[in-house]
Amino acid sequence: MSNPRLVVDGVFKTYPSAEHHRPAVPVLAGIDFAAARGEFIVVTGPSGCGKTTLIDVIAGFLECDRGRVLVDGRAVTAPGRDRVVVFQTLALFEWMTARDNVAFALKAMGVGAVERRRIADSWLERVLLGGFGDRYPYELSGGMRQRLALARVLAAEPSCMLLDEPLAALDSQHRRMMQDELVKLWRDHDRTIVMVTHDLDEAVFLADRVVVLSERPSHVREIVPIDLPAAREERSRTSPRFRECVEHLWELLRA
Amino acid sequence: MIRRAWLPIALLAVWEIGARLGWINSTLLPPPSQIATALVDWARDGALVLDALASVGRVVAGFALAAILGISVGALVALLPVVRRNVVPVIELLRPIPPIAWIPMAILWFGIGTTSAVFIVCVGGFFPIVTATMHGIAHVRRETIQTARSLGAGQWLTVTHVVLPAALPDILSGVRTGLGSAWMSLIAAELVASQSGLGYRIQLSRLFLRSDSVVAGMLVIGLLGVAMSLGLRALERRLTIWNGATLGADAVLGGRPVEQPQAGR
Repeated sequence: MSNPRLVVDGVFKTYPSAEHHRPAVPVLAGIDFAAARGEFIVVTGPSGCGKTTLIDVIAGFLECDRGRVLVDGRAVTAPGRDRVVVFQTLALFEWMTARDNVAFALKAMGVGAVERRRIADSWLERVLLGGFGDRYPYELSGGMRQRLALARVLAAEPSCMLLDEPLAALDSQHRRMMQDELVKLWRDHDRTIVMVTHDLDEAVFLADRVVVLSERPSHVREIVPIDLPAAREERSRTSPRFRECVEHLWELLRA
Repeated sequence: MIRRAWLPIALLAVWEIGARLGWINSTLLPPPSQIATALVDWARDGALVLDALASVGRVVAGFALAAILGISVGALVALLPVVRRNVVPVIELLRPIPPIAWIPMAILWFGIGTTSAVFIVCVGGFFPIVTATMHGIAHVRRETIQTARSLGAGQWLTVTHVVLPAALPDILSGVRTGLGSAWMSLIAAELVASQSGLGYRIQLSRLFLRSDSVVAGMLVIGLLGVAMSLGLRALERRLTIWNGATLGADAVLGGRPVEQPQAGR
């Protein structure tokens, strides 16, 4: 990879102890990986292995003790629009209409009101929420809220999207539908995506490569390339190769 | 209507009959008819409106001041650790002092009259509002703020468009509590530190042993309090129309089904 979009380079993070007689908690012990432009990376690992901490460091919410994160060659020092995060809770702005949620990043950029409205509406159209611009998030169904969160991120035109288990709260039907939508959105918009998940089927269905972390303090156990055709479809879920990949990840996690 | 209000109507009837038959000393507790007469007399010479206007004017002034101060101080305390460390101990120390305990100092500083009353109202309204604002902002979810920052929002946009609106339901419920407290403080202040207003009127009536006028005054105080509280509730609904969860309490009380937000907040 000659010109990676995102580089995570030897990242260490230890949480200082809350009370002084308790030991500090080392969480990340040297994480290395890189993501190419437009690559879909899934990060998985045992529970409590520090996946969310890793996302926080990449996003710039949390400073790492050692190592660095580079986006397009520039070191990350603070949160920024080039690495937008979607949380499991979605963290929609409940007090804003769907349109204002999507337009928020544009407002932060200083885009004028008329232009904001036009761009926001076009993103809403693209995630099939056209006509819902004046609704508040509480009026939308679970799947619509997911799509709204995605539209809000896409409108920020980030070079990387960081997804912290955004689908974990969904039932299995919704989840599969959203996985399909994610694949479509990703293919259409060529974003670099780093997504954390526990779900190995989801990992294989979505990823170009899966970064498997060890338990805490975690390092990269293996980076597994998923050599399925890039255009994933529903039927790829049942192919023997798909099952093999899932089994391989499972072996790695149990090791 | 009559079927739902039978209990108060029956109580009023017993009260009236009891007073007329001499079972109840009508100086200590005048019958409803006498209270109604006092109310009508009070309204007829225009004094009722003047008294009510004096009181409502003071409560509006003092309460507006309390809301502005309470929300700004609460926001600064919640957002800036330096302010928090220095200001919270002072707030915690002053909060347990009942607003009426400030009356002697208010009279000393501002004399008897409107300024004192407005000051007492402000003290009464300030503490519930500042507390609710502090807690409301402190409880805004970390992820909500992080999302705003990650979408490129600076500090100012994050505070004005994300943190404050997210805390608004909590702030407004503090404002409602504050209004109740402000109204009670006002009447207390008017009892001793004023020459006009509803509190002054009932104090004056007591001196003339007009217990009917006292009760009439209490009635007006209660009704105005309810009216202001309902007005504020309506405003609250409008401002937090996005908060589908606010229907919850009404649903419990009114037996309507609870509407839940889809996920998170």
